[in-house]
Amino acid sequence: MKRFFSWRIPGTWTLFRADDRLLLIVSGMVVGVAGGFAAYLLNQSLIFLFDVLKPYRTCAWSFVIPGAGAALSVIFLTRVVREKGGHGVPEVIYSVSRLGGRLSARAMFSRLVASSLTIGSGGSAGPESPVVISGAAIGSNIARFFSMNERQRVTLLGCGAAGAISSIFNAPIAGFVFVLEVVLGEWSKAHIVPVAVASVAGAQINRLLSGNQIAFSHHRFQVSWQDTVACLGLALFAALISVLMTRGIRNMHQIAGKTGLPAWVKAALGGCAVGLIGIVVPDALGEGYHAIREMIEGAYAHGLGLVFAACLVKVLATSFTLGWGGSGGIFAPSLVVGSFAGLAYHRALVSVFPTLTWVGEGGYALLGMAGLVGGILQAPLTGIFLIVEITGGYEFILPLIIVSSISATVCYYFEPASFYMKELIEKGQLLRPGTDGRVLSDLSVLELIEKDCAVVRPEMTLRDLTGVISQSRRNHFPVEDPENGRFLGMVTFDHIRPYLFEEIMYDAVFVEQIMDTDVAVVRPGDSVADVLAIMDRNGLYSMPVVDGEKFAGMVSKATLFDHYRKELMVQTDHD
Amino acid sequence: MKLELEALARCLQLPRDTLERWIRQGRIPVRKTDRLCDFQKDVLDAWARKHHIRFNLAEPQAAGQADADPEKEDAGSLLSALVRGGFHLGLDGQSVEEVLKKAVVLVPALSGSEQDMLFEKLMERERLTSTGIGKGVAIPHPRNPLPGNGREAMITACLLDSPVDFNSIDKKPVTVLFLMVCPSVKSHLFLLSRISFCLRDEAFITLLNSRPTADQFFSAIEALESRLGKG
Repeated sequence: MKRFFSWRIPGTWTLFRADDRLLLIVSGMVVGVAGGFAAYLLNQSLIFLFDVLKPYRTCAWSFVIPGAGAALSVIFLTRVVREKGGHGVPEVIYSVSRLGGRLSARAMFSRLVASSLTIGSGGSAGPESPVVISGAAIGSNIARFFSMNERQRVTLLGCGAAGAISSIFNAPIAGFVFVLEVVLGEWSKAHIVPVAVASVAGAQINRLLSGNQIAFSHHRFQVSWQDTVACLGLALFAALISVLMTRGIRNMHQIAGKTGLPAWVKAALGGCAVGLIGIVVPDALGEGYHAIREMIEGAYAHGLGLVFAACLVKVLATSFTLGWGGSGGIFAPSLVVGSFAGLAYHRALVSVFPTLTWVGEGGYALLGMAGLVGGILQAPLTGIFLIVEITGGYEFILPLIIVSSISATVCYYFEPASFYMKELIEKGQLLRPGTDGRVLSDLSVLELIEKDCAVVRPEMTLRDLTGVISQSRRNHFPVEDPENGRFLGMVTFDHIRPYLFEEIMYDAVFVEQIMDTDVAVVRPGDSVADVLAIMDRNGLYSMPVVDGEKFAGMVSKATLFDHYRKELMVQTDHD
Repeated sequence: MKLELEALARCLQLPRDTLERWIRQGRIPVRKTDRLCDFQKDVLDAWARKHHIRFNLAEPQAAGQADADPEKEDAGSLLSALVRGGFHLGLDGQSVEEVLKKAVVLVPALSGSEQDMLFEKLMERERLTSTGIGKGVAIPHPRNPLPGNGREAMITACLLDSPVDFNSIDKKPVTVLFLMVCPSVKSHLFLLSRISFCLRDEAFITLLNSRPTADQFFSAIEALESRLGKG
């Protein structure tokens, strides 16, 4: 044992050998702290950029600032660090699905820099996605450094993301729930404890560095029964806006794609458009937390029409920023749009039922936020817990649950895949653990192959063949060319059943006469899901595997079931 | 403890690729260092039991060999069973009971009481249906293997002096007995299939009716059996 002892491989330390839970908790805490730092850094750089650019906001040419920021961020991503632009969260989910939690070391900072350029200059995007990918990449690379396996790496990746989200909102439960609900998609004991520890660590870092101030301040609300009823309407309204926003960004992306311009020019154009919008509605710029604060305070001055317009304008600005290639996430914009939507709904309520007492504008702004998070991200629990932590109390829980869950359900009807996962699902790359797709993608043809097949030659007589059959344990016999070993076809038991009891036929029939040359074959590199699809389509129970031109073995549904079951049991076991 | 990947895969009866992937994905409590798999036996044992995966450290032999049919070794070949049982000319008797009574005495390595028991069982079997399978051949045998294991399969071949009515399926009187004593049903079926293969050969039937010597008989069996290939 001593020979393999290494400080780089903590899995071999006596303390962690039998069970890695303690290892994951300890390293999860470290990763959570690092994720928290990443979030703090991004927050500080946004504040810094905002202050630096403040004097120029009033200039007539100020609308080019977001354009320049977005263009710079694209140039940074494509030329300097050479990464694909993107929102961050989908990349992390993809890594969990397909790469065993692998993320490049550059991802630890690349999205942070790019998004601080986009958002700091005024682009309408959120800092959450970038910190999620940074935190996740930190976790992933720490796991790699300590040569951990994929399961441990995925857990640490989740820890990094949880630490980052907890830190940026100073809301540990929201970070924790977001990671389990959206990033990992799996509520298992093995994940929950390390991710919870990391969330606490991330939030604690934020509190140490910038004091225990909440992104949005605590408020107490008196919720009456009519608010709960009115929530039903708000849920539908939030769902409508969610669908609008999801489709807006996607359509903008398609329109931008059709222009055929270089990426940085597109980003610059989108940014300038956002800048122009910002001249009219300054609240549409940046991540928009400032506007949210005002709305929660109930200090947002404009009337119903303007609030509703602001809601749509924010959707437009976000579509321009993200759809045209700016770097950032959709979390913060959906919070802003949600609070505008809630506020607009409240004002409409008050004007229709002026005699009833409602909980207040701030409350509805918060409910709207939960509705949008539930709708766009398909993450109702994240929405609920985030708002509970922001308001610091339980008074709100009934309307919150209603708005969040109904909005998510209604949105699901129009947009079955959340904004993060739409692309992954379309490419068939969202593989949650323990699902059919995941099990099939993990298995490979080479793992299922059975090699104990008796090979026959085309010039054999039926008598020779019966001799082979009596010695074999299978019903399928591959036919090979005796000269070059090429696979020619298959003889199955079914082919010879009619002649088997006619001894006269024994010397009159040759294998080449009864073999089936038009057989569906499997290549060693084929995916098991494809193989199964072919079997289902043609009603087959087994197929020959042909490597190059040579027969390599058989795959059968019986063996597949055996492996499938083992795989499923191993994958879904977490304690 | 440490084992090579291949060896551990055989112990767990998993494809090598599956084991390698599980280790990489961290689904199995095994660590891989270079080419060696490092694991704690009791931890892996508990894990395997929980997942209904067989884990047997004692058996790191190739999977194909482990699956090989042990019964075939048991039965050996028709020739060896016949050599063990012996070939006898000139058994006389007028009825089934008489010839069987004399035949059991010829079966080697049986004690007196065992001979009586075998005879009882053979008669019991004959009462069920005749073992005369046609072409003048009968294959008397007990329905179930004789108690007292560890004995190898033997077939005692006897050529009768005078044909005996065995109530065969083709009504022909019997001149040849193959008295089969096998340790298991499987070896019995195996040898039976070989005998029936030989009896399909007309030249062999002619040979049996021409009162061959033991050498002639055994070499004919050997030649026929070589056509079937090594079992």
